[in-house]
Amino acid sequence: MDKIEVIKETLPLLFLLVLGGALAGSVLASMERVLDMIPGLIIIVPAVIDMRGNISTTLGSRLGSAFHLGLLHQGLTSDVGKENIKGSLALSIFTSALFPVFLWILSLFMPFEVTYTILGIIFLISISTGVTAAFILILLTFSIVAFSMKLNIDPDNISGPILTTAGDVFTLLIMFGYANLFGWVIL
Amino acid sequence: MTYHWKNIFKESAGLLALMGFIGVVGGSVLGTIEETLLIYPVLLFLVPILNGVGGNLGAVLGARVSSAFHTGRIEPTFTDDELRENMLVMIGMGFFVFFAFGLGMSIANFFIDFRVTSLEIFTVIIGAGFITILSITLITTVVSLWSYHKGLDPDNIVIPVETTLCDFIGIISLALMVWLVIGL
Repeated sequence: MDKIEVIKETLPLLFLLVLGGALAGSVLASMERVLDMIPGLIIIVPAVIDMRGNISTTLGSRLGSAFHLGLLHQGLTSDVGKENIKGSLALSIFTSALFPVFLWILSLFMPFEVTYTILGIIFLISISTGVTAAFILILLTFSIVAFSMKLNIDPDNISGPILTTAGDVFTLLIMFGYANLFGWVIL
Repeated sequence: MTYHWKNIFKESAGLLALMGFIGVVGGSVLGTIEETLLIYPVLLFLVPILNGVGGNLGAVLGARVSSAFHTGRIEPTFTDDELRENMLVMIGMGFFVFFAFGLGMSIANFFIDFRVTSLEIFTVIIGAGFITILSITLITTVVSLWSYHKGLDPDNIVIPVETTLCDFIGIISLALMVWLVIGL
């Protein structure tokens, strides 16, 4: 097995991830004020970050398999690429629309309350963040695969770590940009 | 193997919706224990790191194993030598990273006061890290094999399940180690 190869390609990234995690934690901590302004937003933050990671890493994983199967030889703008982009975007819009619904359902059972105004704001934040982050991360995923093909690196070893770490930081920054915007316009 | 966006959507949408729901439940649970964690701010800081490293090791393992199933390089059974070797390499790397991180944090404790002893922070990181890595390696492998045998594309299933469960396991193992080592 290519044991040495996977260690060489993955281990340094894991150390970068520790730093990335610390960065994401610090971004979250510094956004305390807007989380206070929109009660309930903090509850969907981990799920939104997780979902971004899920959608982009499954895209990365599929492109990795396509690469190993030799389906990416015609380049990334082939049908394989286009169908994967469409699939990722559809999933992003669908799941982003679900978060405010889940929050509302949970508010019926859990010891917290959300008003309909807040739910509306969270809906806008969730959709805008989902779509914006999807475009950025799809671009990043394709760049990583193209870059690995060029450097002869196995994309399976690097796409996951880079996508989730960059995804966490980008998603948090984008989300809090929209949260500030919609919170300021509506509240 | 060809890709169509409707198939990608159909295979992932239900699962992602379920994972999203679990994520929101997790968010509200984390919200309620937030005040306990705030007594030791360093523990809050550990949450994204545990989730990040664990989730990513699982993602790398999942992506490697999925590709190997597709190309036929790994037999989709638990007894495949190369599958086991892949698991061991992941566990080894995970242990190494948390050992180094634990060491780094206990040294940092001399300069930044984390309100706990160096031995305590080291034990918490090693314990929570090792529990997370072991569980996530096992979960990833089982889910990869299961989805492959069900005729689903593991690329669409393994990572969402594995990262969502890793977030839970990361938080639970951290709470467990804090309870054992520091007490609540």
